[in-house]
Amino acid sequence: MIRPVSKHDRSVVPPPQDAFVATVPDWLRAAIGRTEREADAGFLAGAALGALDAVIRAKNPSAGAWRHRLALSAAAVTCRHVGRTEDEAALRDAACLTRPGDDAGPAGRILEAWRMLAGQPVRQLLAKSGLATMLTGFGFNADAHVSEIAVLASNACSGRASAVTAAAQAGIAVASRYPDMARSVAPWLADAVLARKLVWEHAVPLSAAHRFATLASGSESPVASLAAYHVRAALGAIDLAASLERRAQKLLAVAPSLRAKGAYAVVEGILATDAIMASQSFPSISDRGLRRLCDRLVSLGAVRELTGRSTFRLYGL
Amino acid sequence: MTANGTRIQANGRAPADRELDCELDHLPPELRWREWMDRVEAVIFAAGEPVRRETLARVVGRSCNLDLIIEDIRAELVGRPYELVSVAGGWQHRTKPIMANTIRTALGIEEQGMVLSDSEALVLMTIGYFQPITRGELSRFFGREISRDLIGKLRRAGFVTSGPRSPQPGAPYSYVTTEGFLEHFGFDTLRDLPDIEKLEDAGLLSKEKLLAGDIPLLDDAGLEGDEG
Repeated sequence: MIRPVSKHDRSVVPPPQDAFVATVPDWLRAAIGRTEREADAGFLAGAALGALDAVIRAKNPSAGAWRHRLALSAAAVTCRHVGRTEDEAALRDAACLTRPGDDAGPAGRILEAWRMLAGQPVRQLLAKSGLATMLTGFGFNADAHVSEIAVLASNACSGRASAVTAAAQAGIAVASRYPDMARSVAPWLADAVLARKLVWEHAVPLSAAHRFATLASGSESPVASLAAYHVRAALGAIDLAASLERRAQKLLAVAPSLRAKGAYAVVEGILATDAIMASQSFPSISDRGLRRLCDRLVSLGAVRELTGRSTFRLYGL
Repeated sequence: MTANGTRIQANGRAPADRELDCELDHLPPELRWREWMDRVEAVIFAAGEPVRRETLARVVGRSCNLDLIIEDIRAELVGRPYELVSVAGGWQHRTKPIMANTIRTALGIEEQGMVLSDSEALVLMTIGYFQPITRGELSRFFGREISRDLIGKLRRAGFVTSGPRSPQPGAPYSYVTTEGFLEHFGFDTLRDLPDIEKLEDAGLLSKEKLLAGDIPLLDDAGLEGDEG
């Protein structure tokens, strides 16, 4: 990460860095949407998740922003499927404009649940406390359901099934048992179980858009269906990571020329989250200083203003 | 309620024992976490009022994440007749609402009635369906000013609380309903609001559409597309 050269040096000095960009074989991209047999789907999903694994382990400077963006997009999908009207922009607003301690509203809580998936250690996600928080976030009665969800998760994780099979098991188990949870809790749990089986430190929001079959509708192989979905989702995540990392490198390249005191913390903030507000408080920089800094970064092409508004502007990669 | 035998000095504080070790570096992580959890729960139990974060921070280590501690305590209380609630900026033990009748029967506590007028109930339900929603948006929908007093009454009743601020001039607060709202009216979750699915299917559950006046009129045959 970024380190100042000395405590007297107020400018940001990034270390020389070759950003890690996952190489995705052409044959993998070409195979999207053309998988038919279960064995082939599993093979392709394995390749895609392997490439994603490399991105995760690389811990790029923009990893925080990447996880937030994936969570945001997952939350928007979930909102659509549970009949809410909030889109990504509205969710971003809810997240930025809720004061700590206030309620983020039903949509904001959905985003919090996905951010929790992307940000908390996997072990905590699958503990009862994590599951209870997630259930409440998705608008369900945690007390009534957490024990059973914990059992479903644990069943899926135990045994020697592959990661994708275990994830499919978890998602299907939830969708069958609780149809209301099929488009929210089911994909969340599948992503958590996938991460657990792949021994990732943190999970990646991948499955939000997938429709988990219920045990009743046993038409095509549910595992193959999830595997095929994972190929697309994982490659999408890898591409997003690459594009954010390109922008992050641009930001890091202009950073040494920033003379505002406290610019270091702001750059770190932009790399670590989906968006920052011009009225947010960062150490050593005033409101006006922050606004000027953000405008400068936008004019340098290092950062974007995300809302298109003239007030309550939000800045990010 | 204080521990037995704790002497209280003239200034109202108990004499400090040997200074409390909060970091607990000598313990393995699991035992340290357990000790922190026990301390937090004991303090909340002993206090008569909601306990704020700063108070709890005095008895746990600097690296201790209080939110995770609270979550873990909550997880342990899942099967118990009481729970940890976040209220008035702090945490408190509270018996679960399902025990209310039991407690009233045993202790003879009067039920506190909360009478809402029709218009207050209507505003409350509107917030329920369309949350988060600001006072200005409510006023536009009803075609009349919804007063701060009315919102204040719903807040004091514990039915409504602050949600995200709205990116409009003045950054007004939006309002959302609370757990207390769900409990009082007997809803398990917001999905249980009457006819919420019908409203969704008819595309009416959108604050934006509502305020744009984009609501199809009911004709005698009923809602369009209603499959009956």
